[in-house]
Amino acid sequence: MDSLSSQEELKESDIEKPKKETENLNENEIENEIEKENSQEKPEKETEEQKKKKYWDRSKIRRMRQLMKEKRFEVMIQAFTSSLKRILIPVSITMILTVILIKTLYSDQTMNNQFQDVSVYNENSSDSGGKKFAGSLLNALIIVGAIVVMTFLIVLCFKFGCMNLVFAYIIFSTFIMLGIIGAVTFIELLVAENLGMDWLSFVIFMLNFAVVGVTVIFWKGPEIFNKMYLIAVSVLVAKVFASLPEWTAWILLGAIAIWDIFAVLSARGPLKVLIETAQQEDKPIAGLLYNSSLYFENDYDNDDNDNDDENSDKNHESSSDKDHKFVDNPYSTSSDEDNFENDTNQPKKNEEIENKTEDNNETKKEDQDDDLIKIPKEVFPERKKRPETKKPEKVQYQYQYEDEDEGGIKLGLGDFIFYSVLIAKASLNDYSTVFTCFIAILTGLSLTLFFLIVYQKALPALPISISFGIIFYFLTKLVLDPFIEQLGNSSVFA
Amino acid sequence: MTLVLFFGCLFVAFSPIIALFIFVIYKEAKLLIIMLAGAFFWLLSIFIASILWKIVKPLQDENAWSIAISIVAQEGVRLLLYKIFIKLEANIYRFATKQTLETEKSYLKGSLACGVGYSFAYVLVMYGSVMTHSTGPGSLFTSECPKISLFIVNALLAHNFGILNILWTIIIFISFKSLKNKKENKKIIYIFAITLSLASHFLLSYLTLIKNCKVSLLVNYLISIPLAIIGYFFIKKYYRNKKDFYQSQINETQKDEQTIEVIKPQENDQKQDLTRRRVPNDNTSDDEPVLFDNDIKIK
Repeated sequence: MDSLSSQEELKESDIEKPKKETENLNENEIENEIEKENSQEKPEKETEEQKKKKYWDRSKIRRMRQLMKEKRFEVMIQAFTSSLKRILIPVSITMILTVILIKTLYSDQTMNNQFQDVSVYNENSSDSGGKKFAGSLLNALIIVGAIVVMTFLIVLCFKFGCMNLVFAYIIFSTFIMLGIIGAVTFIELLVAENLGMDWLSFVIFMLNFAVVGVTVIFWKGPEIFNKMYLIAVSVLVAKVFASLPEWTAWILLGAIAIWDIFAVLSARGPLKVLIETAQQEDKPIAGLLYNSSLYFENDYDNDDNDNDDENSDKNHESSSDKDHKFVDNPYSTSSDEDNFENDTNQPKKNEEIENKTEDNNETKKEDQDDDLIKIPKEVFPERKKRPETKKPEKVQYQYQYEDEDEGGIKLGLGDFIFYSVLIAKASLNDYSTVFTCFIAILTGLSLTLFFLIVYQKALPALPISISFGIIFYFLTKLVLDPFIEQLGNSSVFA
Repeated sequence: MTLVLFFGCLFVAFSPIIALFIFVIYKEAKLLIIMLAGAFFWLLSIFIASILWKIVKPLQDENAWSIAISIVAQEGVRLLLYKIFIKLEANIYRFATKQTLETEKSYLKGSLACGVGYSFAYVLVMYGSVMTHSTGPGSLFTSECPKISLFIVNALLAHNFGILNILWTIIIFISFKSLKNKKENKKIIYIFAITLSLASHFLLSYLTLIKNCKVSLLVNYLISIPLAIIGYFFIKKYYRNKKDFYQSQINETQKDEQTIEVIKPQENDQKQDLTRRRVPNDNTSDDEPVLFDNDIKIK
């Protein structure tokens, strides 16, 4: 999850300068052109008129600049709002499904801890507060430590070029998770609803469920199935985590949020090593780290997948445009502001770079023969965030407008899971806790999204939402519930 | 009467919110955020009230006190929400040169979204946990109303309070904004509207203390009628017909056209193509990189 952060930082440092200079260039260029045209078109006219026109032009330019600013702001807001819906809807669907699942399974019976054999400390209600805290802190730290160790392992794997091993592991574990946890949950649901089913059809059903899930998530399939399976995965994992004892669960959530901050924002995360090696050896980064950050996605390789001819044409055009722009920028830094006079050199450079990028694309396509490449963006999005595909962020907006379903802002699967864990923990209590946590998480998410748009940088999606969620959970449980209960008992509306 | 009662109560209590959500708010993502913010702020207000209630012990004995704290907190936070909202709104239209009807409309829609969020959180917290008990076997009756289930009475009350919360928010938002406007000469109407909405909030909440359900329901609905009329006239100022209200705001393409229109009148005839190049038209984004590209191509 830290890959993006440090990568983005690099990106910014790379790109900021060229952007600024191009801005200056643009302005200068515009002014120059206007003056040129003035002098070329009407050289015979009187000087006074010319002066007037010049003045008028300047005011127009000023107006233009203001318009540009305004437009940029508008584009920002537009990007925020258009991406919001696409993120809020799946998150709320996941949370609602989790609540329904937990409420149907555990409304009558208590949840038994599925980590009982693994965890170091098992909570007893008779233990003192301090003991509980220390024990559950240890538990949470072990789980977070496992995540950290896995991240480092994957970095090592990447460094020594055995990515296929990692992919194989992830596919296998997804298969096992869908199969076994899905089966357990399904049996529990059957028991809770008091329904019967024979073993043969049950096994066939679960096998189908798991195989189709792995196929759809890692290889190909209809988009909607992909999304459904991703939601199913997060609901199942959330259900498992919800069985953690009370204290451990809350401390784990806090620890994950803190780790998230560190991993996404600090430059010394394990991912920095990953990016450095990727840049040195010019390998594509296959990001399959536990991912929980909000970020912009650049996808260029999507053209093959498009069904509509028009769309794919548009994409082609736009992507080629973007490549141009992107390629242009680094050179505009190296040369001076008089860049435009040195036009003659530029096309060659561009061609060279285009060739380079084409080569890269070719290598990419070669890679695509492996099954691994087609892994969807939701799970392994960083794959497409290669250093060469950097470009000014505004173009990303542009891309986003062109097709709203693909590209744009993405949310890691980890966030889905931990939001659902929080909601699942809350749904073991009264319904009012669920409502307040729901609103808190959604508000935190939209705040994070807003910051993402403002700062243009990969951000951890967990901290704001989780902290709101935790605060609201305890406030509701301790203060709001008795208050509402008292009002509700006499059916008073205040 | 388990699931049937539950869904009946659900749809009675949430009907105004669901309708407004589907037909107005869901169409514009901006309104969705405002609605979320409204819900969040209502939760803040109720937390403030409940913390006060928890800390000050004597308040816990009498329902009248808890109602008073709750109302004061809610109205105070509504005012805070108004302040924040108007600041944000001013920022969004910072570049808009003049106050057009479009910005007024968006202000109105924003206040509506705030109100929907406010009443959504209100109904969810105040009535939600009561409602979820209706899934149990059987129903609940009181000695004052032996014929109507308590869940249904509460659902009707929640329905009324849901509508009222939306109305209060709209009325207060519009009135405060109009009071700020120096050209407005009918300030007395707005002051009257504000006092009416505040007074009705107190009155109606205290009326729910009456155990006789018929009286409290009837009076509740009767008092909300004048507020509805005021709200209707406030909204009618900005909208000529119903269709106008349900249409979502300017699309992206329309926006582009608009900006072009804004510039065109100021253009000189001779330099049309020069300016046109700088005006974003085909390229959806109008940023510098695009211009940069165009310039190169032209050369």
